[in-house]
Amino acid sequence: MNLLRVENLKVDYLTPDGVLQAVDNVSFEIKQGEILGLVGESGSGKSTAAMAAMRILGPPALIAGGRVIFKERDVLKMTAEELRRWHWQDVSIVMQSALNALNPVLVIQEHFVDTINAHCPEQSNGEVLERAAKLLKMVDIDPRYLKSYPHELSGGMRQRIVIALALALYPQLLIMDEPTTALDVVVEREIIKRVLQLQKEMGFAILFITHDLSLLLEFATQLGVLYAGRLVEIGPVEVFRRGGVHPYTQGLFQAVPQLHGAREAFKSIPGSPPSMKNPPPGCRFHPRCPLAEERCSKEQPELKQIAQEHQLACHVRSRD
Amino acid sequence: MSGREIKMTDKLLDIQHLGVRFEIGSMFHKSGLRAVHDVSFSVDRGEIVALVGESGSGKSTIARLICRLEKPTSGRIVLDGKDVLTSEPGAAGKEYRRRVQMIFQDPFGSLNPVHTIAYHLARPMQIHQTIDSKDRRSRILQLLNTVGLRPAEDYIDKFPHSLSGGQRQRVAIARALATGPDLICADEPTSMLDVSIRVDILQLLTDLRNEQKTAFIFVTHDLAAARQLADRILVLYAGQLVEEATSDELIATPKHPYARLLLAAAPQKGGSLETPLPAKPGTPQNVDPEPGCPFSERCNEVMEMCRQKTPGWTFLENNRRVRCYLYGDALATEGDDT
Repeated sequence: MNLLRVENLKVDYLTPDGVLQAVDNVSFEIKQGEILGLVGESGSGKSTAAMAAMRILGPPALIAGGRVIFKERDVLKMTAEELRRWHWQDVSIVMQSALNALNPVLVIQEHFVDTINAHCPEQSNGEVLERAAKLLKMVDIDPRYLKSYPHELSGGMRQRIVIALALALYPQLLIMDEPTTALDVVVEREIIKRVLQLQKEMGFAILFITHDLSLLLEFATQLGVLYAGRLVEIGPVEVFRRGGVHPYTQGLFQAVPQLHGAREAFKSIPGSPPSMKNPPPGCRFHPRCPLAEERCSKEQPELKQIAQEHQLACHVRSRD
Repeated sequence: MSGREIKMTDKLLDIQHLGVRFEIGSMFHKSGLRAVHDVSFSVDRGEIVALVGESGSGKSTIARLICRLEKPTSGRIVLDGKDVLTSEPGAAGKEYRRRVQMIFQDPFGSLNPVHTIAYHLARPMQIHQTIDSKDRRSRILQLLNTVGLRPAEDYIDKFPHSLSGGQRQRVAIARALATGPDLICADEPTSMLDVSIRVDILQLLTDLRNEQKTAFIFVTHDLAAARQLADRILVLYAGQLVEEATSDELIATPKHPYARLLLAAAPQKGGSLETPLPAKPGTPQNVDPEPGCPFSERCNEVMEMCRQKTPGWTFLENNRRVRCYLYGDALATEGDDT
């Protein structure tokens, strides 16, 4: 069953220079217990799309169109109170910077007390603290750190605590926005492994946002690639393990130096990601695309089903 | 691909027993933070050496020490046979600064927003008098061309804010090149850039080495990038060097348990999170460190002697060295090295 369905989502940023379409017609679905990875470079709209789906974007961002359905409830029509309840209980988010996600003047346990009290006011203080201790243990942190301030903990510990906090009300969907980008590879791996174990035990779904394609290949079940605000390819992770089909997806793979195998020449994608104030006409990737034809600069390709659950937005490749 | 055919026999920089210790804590409870400890290595002319490790491993601090942005508390920095710390005990001399340049991680913070690109590149030429003022503009255009900002005329009078991150990093590289340096320390020069343009910067550094024989110290946590770019990789843990090998050898057969851990943790095609990591979780202990190998707390193959005495270097074939009792019983006393 679909847990979250995002349909034709459009998000604009209102800037002094005009409207900037940060997310343009993005659709995806997450089923229960699934892990959907969204990959893209900075400015591709991956975080904006997730935050818009959670309705935590404020001005100058504006949801300009589309629908967000969470278990048959229309998220975009929720009242402020419904939204307040929906957050944390059904869906929660882990942001990239764990230092900024925790209040520097509050000890760790206050963060848990605040969060749990806001949603379950009937719980006694003792119960809340017991639950907080249990949550910390889930992420391999000694409960004695409940009395510590955020600055006394390492980056990895802080990020674990933010994850524990996000799971405090046992949500069904956990959105993780570059949760490990600021961390070292070893710590990153330990944390992701722990999250995946918890995901298996508790059964929540994950929307994982990152720029690290090779990382996603190791654990995502579905994967979507965003370029300049549009999804260019989305499908089961196996498609991407074989290298993907869209020229941008393939370019991303080639641009990442590999640890093993022959040392090949560096292969970058020529040019740089477009300015969203003035995106190129037609396919937004065409100025950098090795396969571009005349049609690509005029007509914007729409996502089309090319195989079971595999969708692609490319004039050239969907014809082949 | 990275021009390994160049034979390098000429030693440019020699780092000997470099160390930095910071005093931290309150008046009543002082602790010593050992950021860098007993680090020795050398860099040949035109060579690319990668310093690899996690945060807190001291890799950036070593680059900053070499660029003389920070002062070591012990050790020697020898450039072309001259001990620069004793001959220039205060700030680094102008000539040293001309020859050793730095590229910083954040191209958004390292350029001044109120000055044009031309100004950024003219300043080092002006300070070091490397070129006549009348020829400066043509030299700037040439530098912009070298770093791939073409046509250079379009970039020279721009301000940093109108450039993308990748273009800014190219300006930062051009600025480092402006003095005609022999060595550039590049501190994670690609980690703030988008994936699709990172390789361009790595390629540019490779080209500069091949064409201008500039040597690089490449500080990174990305082993795959280190392998692509560097001739040799030095692995750091808790401020100490633990292994040195050619890039290919280190990636193919990492010896030190920490090097093996780093390699196992690096995301890669066909990798799997199911594979257990070959070490216990933990962080490097730099504050008031216990005697013994800094990695012994986390090491799966720890032996009794690892906790008692820091291992010295065991030298293997091909100038390869590793600091671990698994490969020999090179006992060392504190401060003893090479």
